[in-house]
Amino acid sequence: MKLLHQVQSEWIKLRTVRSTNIMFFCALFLAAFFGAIVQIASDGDQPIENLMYGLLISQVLFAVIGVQIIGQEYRFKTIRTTFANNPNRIQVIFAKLIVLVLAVALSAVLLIMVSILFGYFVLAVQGYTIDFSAPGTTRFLIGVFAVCIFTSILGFAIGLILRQPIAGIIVVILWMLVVENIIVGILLVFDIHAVKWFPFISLLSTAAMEPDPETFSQPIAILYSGSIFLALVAVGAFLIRSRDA
Amino acid sequence: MISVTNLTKKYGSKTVIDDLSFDVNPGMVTGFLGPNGAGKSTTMRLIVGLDKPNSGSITINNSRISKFSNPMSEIGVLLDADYMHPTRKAINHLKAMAYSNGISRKRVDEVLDLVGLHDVAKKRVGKFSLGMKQRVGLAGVLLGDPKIIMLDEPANGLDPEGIRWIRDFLSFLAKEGRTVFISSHLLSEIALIADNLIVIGQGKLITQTTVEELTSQASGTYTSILSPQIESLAEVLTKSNIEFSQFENEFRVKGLSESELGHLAFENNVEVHRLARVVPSLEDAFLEVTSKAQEFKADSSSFQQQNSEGK
Repeated sequence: MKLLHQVQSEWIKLRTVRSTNIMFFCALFLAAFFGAIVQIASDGDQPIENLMYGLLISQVLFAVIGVQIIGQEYRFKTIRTTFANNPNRIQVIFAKLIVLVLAVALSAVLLIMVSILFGYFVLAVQGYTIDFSAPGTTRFLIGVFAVCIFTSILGFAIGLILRQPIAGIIVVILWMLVVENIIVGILLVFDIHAVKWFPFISLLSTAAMEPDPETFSQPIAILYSGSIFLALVAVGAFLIRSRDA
Repeated sequence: MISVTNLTKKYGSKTVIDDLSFDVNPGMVTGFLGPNGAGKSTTMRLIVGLDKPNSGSITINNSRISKFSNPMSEIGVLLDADYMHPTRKAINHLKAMAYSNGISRKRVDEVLDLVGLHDVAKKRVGKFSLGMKQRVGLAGVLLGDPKIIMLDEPANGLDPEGIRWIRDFLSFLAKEGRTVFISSHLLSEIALIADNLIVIGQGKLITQTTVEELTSQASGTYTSILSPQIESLAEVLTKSNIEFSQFENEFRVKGLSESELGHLAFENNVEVHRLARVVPSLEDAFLEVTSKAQEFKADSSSFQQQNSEGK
């Protein structure tokens, strides 16, 4: 069976489930909406960063979509139909990953464009313009794109390992918003500066205009976090291949 | 052809399939029977590779299912009609299945027509009745135009009309020369369409036979003879050392065929009004062969007795 056929099948599945479509729409809408709100509140300071503020919410939704793309198959037991029709489970998982990354990449580009478009009008009212030549802009946009992609991969990995959408969503949200921050906070109490070793915080640090001296450089941070999340995908794929469906 | 050889599957310490071997022969309808918990669904999941066996092997047309590049062209499987995403439209469910095996969109329309769902193809399956979901499932089974079709309890939960539709549909598939492997609790339905039977209990093979063989071998088989000359017939049977039981003017004889009994009556000038071989139903035969393999058994004699006392 050709991988392309499976990718085609997974693409149909992704775009024909209502909850996933709503989530993609929310990711775009909330990103633009919150970006505009923050820009209004901050009165023109660092416009690009402000306009992308909604990314904080969108990235969570992308992670949830990552969980859902596999978790829903287990929830509704459609995974049995999927694996009966293609017993090569690794190929199925790889096809899902390709579709997820493509869909999120497309959404991330749209998210950036819509946020900038929204912001353009807000800034015009405030008497500012977006300066794309400002130092760090390219770095920031690359970081935003990477955060969107790799948080969805983190969600996918958690979904593969847990195979339960609700549990997966809870775990991924806790990981992103609570667990790493708490551990970093505790370590700081003991004057241990290990923030760069926490994959999600390290990834998030790439979406900034200026590099944080306590974290890896942007390429290294993306490579480091991406490798960890992809390693988790590999663990999940191994578990799925060896377990009963 | 499906070949199952020395298949064993354990969940923890519990053995649910125990050294099971059987063949599903091509071009026939094979019924897969067994009491609840016998391991029928597990066996079917093992056949399509959804569950991993502890030991043993399964081949489909002499190959392992994992070796097929497009498995849907070899075997069409419906394990449960509910294995669909409720917010997905029927046509998209089928398209996703079809594309995974390189099957064209045109074929999706063909199978939708075949199961009579073309008009509702663009509705979400969550709004479908069980019967309609079953039809979507069968459409999915046929997408790859497979020679082997495997269905787990396809009539489960259906109303009489739905059951009849499934029966007619399976007969249609069988007439096309496909191998149909079907598990069901509805023994009367199996009796109508199956050529062969595989009966399992507690994960073990009890028998692989035909419906006729199974029912004729059951201990309840007898020849019934009806005569107005009750005393004469009783005397003839007694003289011939033939054991019989009598119910008014009907005599029930085991071990003699209709022709043997008819000839005996004729030779002794006994008038006969009816002569018939009475075989137990498939249900009776099934209960007899699986009586030792029932995991959860309820004794019906107690309420039958209460019922008769109530009368």
